[in-house]
Amino acid sequence: MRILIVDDSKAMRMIVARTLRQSGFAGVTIEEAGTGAEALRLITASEPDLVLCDWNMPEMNGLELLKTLRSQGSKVKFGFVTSEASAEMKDTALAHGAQFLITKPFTPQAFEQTLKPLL
Amino acid sequence: MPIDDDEIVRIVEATWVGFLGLSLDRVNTSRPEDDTSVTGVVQIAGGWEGTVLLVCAGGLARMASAAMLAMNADDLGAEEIRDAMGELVNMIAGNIKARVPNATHLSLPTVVEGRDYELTVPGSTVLNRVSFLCEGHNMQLRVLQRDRAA
Repeated sequence: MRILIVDDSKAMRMIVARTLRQSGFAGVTIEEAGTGAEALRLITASEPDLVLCDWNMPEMNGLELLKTLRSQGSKVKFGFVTSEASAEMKDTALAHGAQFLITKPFTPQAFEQTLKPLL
Repeated sequence: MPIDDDEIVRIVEATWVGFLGLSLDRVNTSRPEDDTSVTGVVQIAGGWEGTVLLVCAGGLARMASAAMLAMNADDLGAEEIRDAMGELVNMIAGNIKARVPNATHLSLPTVVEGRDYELTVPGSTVLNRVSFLCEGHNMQLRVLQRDRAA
């Protein structure tokens, strides 16, 4: 199983990866992208089983990445890990084909409860 | 006022205690600290516009970054501290934004580091100034509202 973590913060990519391991996904292959464009290239080349993506990133933000993927016909499982967790943003994310939105700061339990049913 | 001090305390505690595992006490005033400080800044825009500033004593910024990255504090480089501090203020500002009506956009974080500096946002008024003591170091969370006429 491959999970792609997309975040412009190296620190946050590291924390998301660590939280994945703590929430029962120790055996998965974790890949990282520091920009939306890099993520798009990786996903287009070979779709992972799940994309965990920050919302607020420079150049191509997470929502733009999701819209681009869906416009290209990608059905990759996609969720946001973001500090911006208003109801409006959650509605927007789901309307554009995201499966979930996890709020920062998060816990391993939040990851487990959200991701286990999907993977 | 878009958000009260108690709500800010809850948001900061969720990040600092829940996420980093560091102890945190609210205090009435920050005592002077002869040290560098690190300030993370995020702007909020939309129907409400303002700025969130997280001001940390340099030693605390290093300690919090180490806790966040699960690294030894002495092994951290300046770039790792800036990255971690940016994410911390981003998390706090994102949670503030979610509680403020009509706030729609969050800027990318900016991090300032130095000694004896004053960071101001022209055309803004300080709405909240909440001080904390963490592991013997000062920290302050400020919320500024941009004046409509500015």
